[in-house]
Amino acid sequence: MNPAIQVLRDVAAHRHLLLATTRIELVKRYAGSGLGFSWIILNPLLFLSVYLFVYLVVFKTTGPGLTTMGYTIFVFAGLVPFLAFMESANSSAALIRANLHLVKNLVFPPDLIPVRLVLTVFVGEFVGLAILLVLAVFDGDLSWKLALLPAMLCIQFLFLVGTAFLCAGFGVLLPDFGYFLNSFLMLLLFLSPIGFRTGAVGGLIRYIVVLNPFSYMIEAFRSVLVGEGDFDYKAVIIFTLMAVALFVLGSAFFNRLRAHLVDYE
Amino acid sequence: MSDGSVPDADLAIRLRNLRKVYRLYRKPSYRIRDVLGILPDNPRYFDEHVALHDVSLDIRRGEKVAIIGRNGAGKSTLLRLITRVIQPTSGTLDTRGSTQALLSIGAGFHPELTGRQNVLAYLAHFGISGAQARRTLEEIIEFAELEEYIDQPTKTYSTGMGMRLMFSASIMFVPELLVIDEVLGVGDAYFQGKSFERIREICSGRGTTLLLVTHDIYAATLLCERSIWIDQGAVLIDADSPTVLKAYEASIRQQEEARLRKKAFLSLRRLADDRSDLIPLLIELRCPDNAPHVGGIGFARIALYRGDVELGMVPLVGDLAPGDVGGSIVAEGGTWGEIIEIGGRQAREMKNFGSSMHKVAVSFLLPRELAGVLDELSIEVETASAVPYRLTAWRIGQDLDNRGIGEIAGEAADWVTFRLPLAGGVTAIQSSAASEMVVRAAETHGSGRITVTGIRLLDSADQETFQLVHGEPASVVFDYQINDPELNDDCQIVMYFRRNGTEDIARVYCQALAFDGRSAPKGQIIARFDRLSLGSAEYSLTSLIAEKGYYEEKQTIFYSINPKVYWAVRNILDFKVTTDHYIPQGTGVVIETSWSVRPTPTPHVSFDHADLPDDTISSDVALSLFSAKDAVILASNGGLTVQTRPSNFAYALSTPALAREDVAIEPNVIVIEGLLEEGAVSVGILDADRDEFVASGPQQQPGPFQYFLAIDSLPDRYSVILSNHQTAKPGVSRFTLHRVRLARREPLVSEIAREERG
Repeated sequence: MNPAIQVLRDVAAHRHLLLATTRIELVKRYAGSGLGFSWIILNPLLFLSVYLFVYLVVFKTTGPGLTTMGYTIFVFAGLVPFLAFMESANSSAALIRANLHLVKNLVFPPDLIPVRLVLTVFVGEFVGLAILLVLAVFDGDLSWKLALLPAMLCIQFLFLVGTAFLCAGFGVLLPDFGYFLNSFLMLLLFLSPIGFRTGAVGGLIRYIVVLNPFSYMIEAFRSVLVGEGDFDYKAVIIFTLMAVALFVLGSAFFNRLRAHLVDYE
Repeated sequence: MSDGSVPDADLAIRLRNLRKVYRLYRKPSYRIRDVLGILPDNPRYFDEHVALHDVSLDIRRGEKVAIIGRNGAGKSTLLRLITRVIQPTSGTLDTRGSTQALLSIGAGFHPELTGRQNVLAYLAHFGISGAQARRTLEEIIEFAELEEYIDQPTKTYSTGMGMRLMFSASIMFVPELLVIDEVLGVGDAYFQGKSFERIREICSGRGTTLLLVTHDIYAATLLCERSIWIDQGAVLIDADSPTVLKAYEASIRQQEEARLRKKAFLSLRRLADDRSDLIPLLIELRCPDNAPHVGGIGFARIALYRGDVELGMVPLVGDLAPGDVGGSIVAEGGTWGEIIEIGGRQAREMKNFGSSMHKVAVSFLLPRELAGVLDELSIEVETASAVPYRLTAWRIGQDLDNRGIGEIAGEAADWVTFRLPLAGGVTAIQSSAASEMVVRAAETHGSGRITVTGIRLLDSADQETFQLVHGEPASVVFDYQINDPELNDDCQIVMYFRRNGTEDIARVYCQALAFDGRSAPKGQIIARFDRLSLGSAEYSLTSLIAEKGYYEEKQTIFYSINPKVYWAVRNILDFKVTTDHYIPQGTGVVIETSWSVRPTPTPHVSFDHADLPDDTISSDVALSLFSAKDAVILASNGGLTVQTRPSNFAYALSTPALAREDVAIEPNVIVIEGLLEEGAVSVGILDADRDEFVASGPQQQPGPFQYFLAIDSLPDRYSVILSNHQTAKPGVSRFTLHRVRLARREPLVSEIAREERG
């Protein structure tokens, strides 16, 4: 059977187990911290504040024709999905090593470990989206396009699981992968059209942004979340194609690696 | 199924030619390329390590199987394949049913979460939540006995506490296949026992199949009726647990022996200053089956020859002349003793105690040009012993293979020279310690300071038996012999009663019994149970005698090579316990035991003819008496051999003068049992004070004999005499006295009537 379909079947078959253990993963993540679950809300808020500070105060850039609130929503719409990606990719690198006991003691199907990670990341993303929606309601910037958000999240789920499979796999194969990935993601954060529009930059940066696959994820989300502007069909189609391709590729790769997970202990 | 031995439906696991090869890549990048499937299948990129060679196994549903073997033998690989954590390189694997694996423990707990949260998290992984999770949680906390700490973060736990909680959580499920890898030793002894019971409980459920990997082979055999011994990635033995256990125990000594042998070779190399023009050669003289020989054997000369040219000799009684390329004695892993004198000649003694390996070894460093012609060499051994001896000789070459080159054996004290060609003629035995063991599994272990020559079970009437009755008195009698005259200390004796040869039912041990190798080198150890508390079953007795403190302290050295163990034999005696009332199986028992040592009086051997040479009779004479409770007095020495010479025809063997007070009853019959091998014998009871016979029996034809001598009254002091005095027939006589019994035969009615008339 195609590994990608097998992953989807496993997810369907173990959906209760996945949800239950996702909850535990969240508890574990914030266990021992003073503020506990508050960090789920505080984390994206703080990150957004830093980002806005850099663009609004340090570089004094705002999008053309946008109010401060409008710009905040604009940035947020790109930042929330990108943060989710960043977090899932970053955590994937050390994922198998940290969960080897699950693999060895047959507690959990190994292919669900990256899926579970994406689910925990999604919880953070939902919080971010909720904040965003509150801001949008406040600004009166809502449109019919918001109805496409669930579809967009499904596509992003495939996108994230696919990259998590790849990153987890490379994390096992190359012990140094995690460090490299960390810096690379930081670079991507600035080379992705989060604080600016794709069309607003020129020259070399323009090419990089156009070639950057994550630009399409950001633009696709933004065209759904920001009321103004047209629905960016082109970005959504490219994003969807990339998500499916990543998912199929990642599943196949992880499936191939599965037999080697414990060998690499 | 192809071989048709077990129907498919009964199988829990079926392996066919399962093979696992690990690749050891020459560069890390090759590993990645291999995972990605872009590495050519070419050995220049990787070495292959075969962790498991084409293993085929059938494991039935509900079967409990222990997998034993050394580190790196492939046990864990096998378990990981069965649990599908890793994929086989080739072969097929079928399993059915749910699997619970305990392959590693201790990981997976989040240090910041409390014990309770961690357990709930663990349970959630099995889809257990809500009320069911809370119930299971309570059971787990209770089992782990961590009630006080359960709401503390696990980072505050000690390692043992965390392990206990993890283990408790893991064994709350009853899967169809339980796979446990080396995790039984969690926690303290108390918790280990409890865990063990829990696993036994899980497995007692019908249909739960258990695969257990452990280094505690005794625990394994207690739980598992079947054991699979894996060595170097292949199944060495797959049989019932007692058989495998016996083989495994014997192999541990073989391995130790192999290790020491290797060490001897290494030191030889060092001796040769790494000269590549020299090759080492070891010659070993071993006791058959590693059983200590009867007495000291003297070696006056061991030399190596090529044709008639002496190549070198071993300095047995002195130093080598400098520059002489000769041999040396290998001190470690053998029983070389001091320099002694036999018949006016100096010799190096081979003791019958002092090492768990009953052998002596010598080594030679030979010029390399001899490597091709080793078969043309021969070894000359000049030896003498006061007692009969038999040793097998082995040649061990550079590649550590063992080749039998013959045996040396003798009976008389005369010096004998043996010439053994190194070509041998005996088939080579494989060098793997394990395989060697399969060929010849030795039964006796221990350094031989004390050995036991016989064990008997006595019932309430002190009759020898193999069937005891629950609740009645019983005794175990050991005939001991101290080989090391320097032994003068307390020793410990342990008896293991194992049901059906495996299940540990009771252990009885004596903390301290005093032994003295000089004043009482022989005698009996008597363990008496006033009330035998073993339930009805068939038992095997395993026993060992060890240094003081052995049983109370944790021993890090396996008993078969532990120098503190003087003597040990597994399953030496099988017996049955019957009962007339119901005793539940598995009932724990406490056996109150009184121990005593009864040294044999120093034996006297007297001869009619004073000029009889000393060497005609074995000094190995022992005869003892001990009081019986009521009816019968038993004297037994377990065997005493007398050999005569053709030139002397009138001599005898007598026991020490025995006192009448030793006897609790007034006997009227003496029963004398023995074996006449050759010649003739007659027996008599001699009144030691008046020097006249009170009873005597006729001469015998060869074969077992049993005399019933009627006596009117027992003299105050008397001896039992065996002789060929009355035969008047010169010739060789050999006879053995087994046992003397004094008994009271009930008088016949006519005799009573006669007494009344008198």
